[in-house]
Amino acid sequence: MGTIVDQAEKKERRRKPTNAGKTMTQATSTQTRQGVSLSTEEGLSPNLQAHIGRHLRAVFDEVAREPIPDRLLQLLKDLERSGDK
Amino acid sequence: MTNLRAFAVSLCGDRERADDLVQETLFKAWNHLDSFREGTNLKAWLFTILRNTYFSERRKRRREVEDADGSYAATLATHPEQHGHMEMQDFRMALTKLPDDQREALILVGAAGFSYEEAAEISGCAIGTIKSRVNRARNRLGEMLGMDETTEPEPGITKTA
Repeated sequence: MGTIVDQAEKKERRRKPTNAGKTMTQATSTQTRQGVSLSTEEGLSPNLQAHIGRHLRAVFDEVAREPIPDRLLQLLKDLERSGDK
Repeated sequence: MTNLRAFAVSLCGDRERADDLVQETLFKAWNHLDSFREGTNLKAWLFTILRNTYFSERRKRRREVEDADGSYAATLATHPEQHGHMEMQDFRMALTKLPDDQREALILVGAAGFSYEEAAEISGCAIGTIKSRVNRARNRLGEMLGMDETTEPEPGITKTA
């Protein structure tokens, strides 16, 4: 499992310098990238996609904003303590 | 951690079960820390453990209980903490009706902030598969919520026509 994640990270790192090198045409390349990704999304218009995206994040963030339940915080503490020994 | 929990809730639709999932995930991660490499993506690693735990439990449960989908939709829809306006209610309900794999892909990419590449690693499938799941999920949501291109206001269209 670690290896898989590792590979993902390597790919990520490879991708970053490529984008950083495009500073001169940054604005245009961003537009192009959006254009490309949108044209491959079949069906929904960018407006509808954005609409769905907003709702999706609202639903997700609602839960993410909730405090971590005590039993999970306690578990983290216990794990930390067992690691110290 | 809050994101991991939100992901768990969006997968199983139930906060109690989601917290069990997070708890199990933390245990497993702790016990397999040696398989995690320093400097790699800890968040993606935890998400991977959590979704694998969820899907393997769900496969087991499916064999026992046939109507897993029906009960899932019901628990999520009637959660007392979730009021808010109708539009959000409808959206939440529509989300529960998506197939598991499509909902997972959509949440990972659209809400949890992962790239298609990372989402593919987490779900253990090809990038193309993730992209098509996300597309199908969006289209299904659009259909279910009755959003179609003609009803959506699109500024500029009338001017150019």
